[in-house]
Amino acid sequence: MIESGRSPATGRLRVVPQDDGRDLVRRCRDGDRDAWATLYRTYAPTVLRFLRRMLGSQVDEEDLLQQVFVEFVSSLERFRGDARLSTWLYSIASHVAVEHQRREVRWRRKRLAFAAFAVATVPLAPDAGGSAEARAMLRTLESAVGRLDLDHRTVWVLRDLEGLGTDEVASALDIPAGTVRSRLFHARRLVLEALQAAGIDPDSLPTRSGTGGNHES
Amino acid sequence: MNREAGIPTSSCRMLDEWLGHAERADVLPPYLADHVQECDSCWRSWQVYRGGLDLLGAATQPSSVPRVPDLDAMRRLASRPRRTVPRWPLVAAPIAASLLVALAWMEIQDGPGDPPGSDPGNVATLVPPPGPPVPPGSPDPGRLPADPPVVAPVEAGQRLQAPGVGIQVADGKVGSVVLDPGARVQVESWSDADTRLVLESGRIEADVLPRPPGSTFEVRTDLARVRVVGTRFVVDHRPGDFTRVTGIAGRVAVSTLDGFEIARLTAGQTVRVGPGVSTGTRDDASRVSLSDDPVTPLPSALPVAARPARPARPSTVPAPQVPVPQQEPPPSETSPSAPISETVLAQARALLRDGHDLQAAALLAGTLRDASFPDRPRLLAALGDAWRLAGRPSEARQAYESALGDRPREAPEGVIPDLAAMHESVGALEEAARSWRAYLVAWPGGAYSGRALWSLADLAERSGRHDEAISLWRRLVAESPYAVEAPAAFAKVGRALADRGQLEQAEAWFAARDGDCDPAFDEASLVGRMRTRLLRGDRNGVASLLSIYRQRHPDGLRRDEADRFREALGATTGTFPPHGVNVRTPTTD
Repeated sequence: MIESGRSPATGRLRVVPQDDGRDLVRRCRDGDRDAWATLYRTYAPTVLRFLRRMLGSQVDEEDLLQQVFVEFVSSLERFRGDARLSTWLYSIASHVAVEHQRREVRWRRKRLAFAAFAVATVPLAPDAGGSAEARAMLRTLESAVGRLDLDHRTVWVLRDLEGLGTDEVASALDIPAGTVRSRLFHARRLVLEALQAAGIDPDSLPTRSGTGGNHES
Repeated sequence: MNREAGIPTSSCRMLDEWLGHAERADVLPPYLADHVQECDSCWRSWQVYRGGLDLLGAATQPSSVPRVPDLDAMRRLASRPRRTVPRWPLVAAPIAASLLVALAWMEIQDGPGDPPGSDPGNVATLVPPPGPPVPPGSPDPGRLPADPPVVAPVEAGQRLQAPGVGIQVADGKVGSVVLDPGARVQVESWSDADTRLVLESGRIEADVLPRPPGSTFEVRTDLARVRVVGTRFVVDHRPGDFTRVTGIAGRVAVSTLDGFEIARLTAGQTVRVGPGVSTGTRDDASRVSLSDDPVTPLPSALPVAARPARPARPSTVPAPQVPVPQQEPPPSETSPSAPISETVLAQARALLRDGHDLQAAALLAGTLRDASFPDRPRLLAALGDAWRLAGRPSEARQAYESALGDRPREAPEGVIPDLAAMHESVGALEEAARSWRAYLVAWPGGAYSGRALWSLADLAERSGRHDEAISLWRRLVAESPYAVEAPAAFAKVGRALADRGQLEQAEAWFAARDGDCDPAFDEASLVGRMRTRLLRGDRNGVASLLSIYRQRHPDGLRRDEADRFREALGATTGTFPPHGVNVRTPTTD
């Protein structure tokens, strides 16, 4: 692990692992098209997935994806490798998603029950088998996520769906780790309450069994 | 934590602890894993939550890798200057817009004189009769005026000028042209073979009937030429400043005066042309702006961009209120199976997204003229949004209130909070409170309950009704414990008790949340007890709590508050905290 730099917003030390993102960025800065193609093919699906999880399937996600990478290209000179490349992209994508949603919210708030996550247009997971329970759960989740405000939703998506750690989320969003934990607690609570209230039967879902392993703390 | 009946929740705090502390949502620490194996409710909750994550995660995976864009093209896009809008205009805009509209209305009423050399005898300046009365009982969606009176027949050489109200010129062969109040139009020719109008100033909306092949319908300003074939569009012209063309239906071709095509618009697209556009060279790019991609490629002389910049809104007088003939969604954009209200809402949303707030309002208001139209509450709510974005708060409030009517539950849930926020923004606190109370009645346990209770408590506190404020904070903590406002309300109650000298009650209140799984509550509990113990002179107790706080919350949200208590321990008297902690001398009840 390499300790490098402090967040200008929070003053916290940012400890980041070394990865080859810096090399890719350097080569892109120099105009290396192969490096650019590699970087884009590697990270664009991740960004697209994140945007979809934040905003739903009815947004113009290709347009937003382009916005993210245009912003990324414009920040190539500023990227010093203080954070992982993925964290940097998540940071930009979060900003783009939040700004987009704020514009949308001005028009429709939550009155359309977060219709962006339209069940009819989101393909179900293959192992869900198109079951009624799975569809009901998806609708419940869509509604619950739609009720989360932008700050809580961003943290929840990054942590529980994208799998980032607390420190990485804090770095991407430039907020304290305590704030990440607090927002995550609220978001998880709301999502779980929604699922419980919907009466979803877990036995009908194709989930993994067990508690995910008992060797970590 | 116990909840009211009706929403099944886990009564076991172990799962709550996982929610508060688990680093990963798919892996439990050993002690929790053992517990979940034994506790049915936690097991179910665990399975449901993980199943939901799996399902949502899989459902949102992209199925293919996006095409790699060209690096140079991305760099060009990245190097374009971006317009940033500071926040303060968003606050000042509604007030400024109201003033400007009032001033503009006064200016339009007076109107400039005829240009020199015109023949005042050929000007059709009729005084239109009053519009048809509004049928009793029909809703008034935003006070739009009735359809403008019709002027017919129209003859070549005629000059049209709309005085204080709009007028409409129409016949069964050409179509209709509606002139906004103050608009001036010279009719060069008027027939189904050849119709040519010169828009000298102001705004018109044209609805052109399908015409024979080779015929012409053209509107010309001193900046641009608009040619159409069987379509509907709006032209807004300010002499020497800009010409703005918006397509409503069909396709509209816009070109320079010497015939160079600038854009071909479809419904919802707008082009704005500034002075000096002649040949469509790169220099003209700054004077021609589109609000959406053109249907046909722009001429190669103009720079090709993935998304042209939005046209800037006029910085002076906004477009005057549009007299709206009844509008229907274009037939090509509806299908028998799609609800018409959804189509209208989608069109309105597209207009709002592109900044055409007034057009969206006109579309929605026109739709709502049909009293039998379904989904009226949703459409009225959308109309309120459009008016609000257009900087017309009074019309917005009226539309929102119409949406609520006698059955507020039929309107979208967010309408009342929007209305309350608008009241608050103009200082109408009692109206805001009334809205929030109505929300709590119509939507018990709703998504905005926490916010409603917090706002009501805030209003009560500001009005000096401290007992009422405390009661509302207590209610917030009890009824909406997971609202984002709940920890702050919790802190407010305890602090109020402490300020009143009820130190034991305050200590008990705060202690009830000691070690709470929600970090925000735990912090409030610790900091609250620091206060009560300091007021009691229990310096050792404060120091002990500070130590616990630092261990549990090294990056806590209230660390500044905790730091002030630490400083207070180091103060000379050690009894009262320094400036900023704001502890009143205890009083008796």
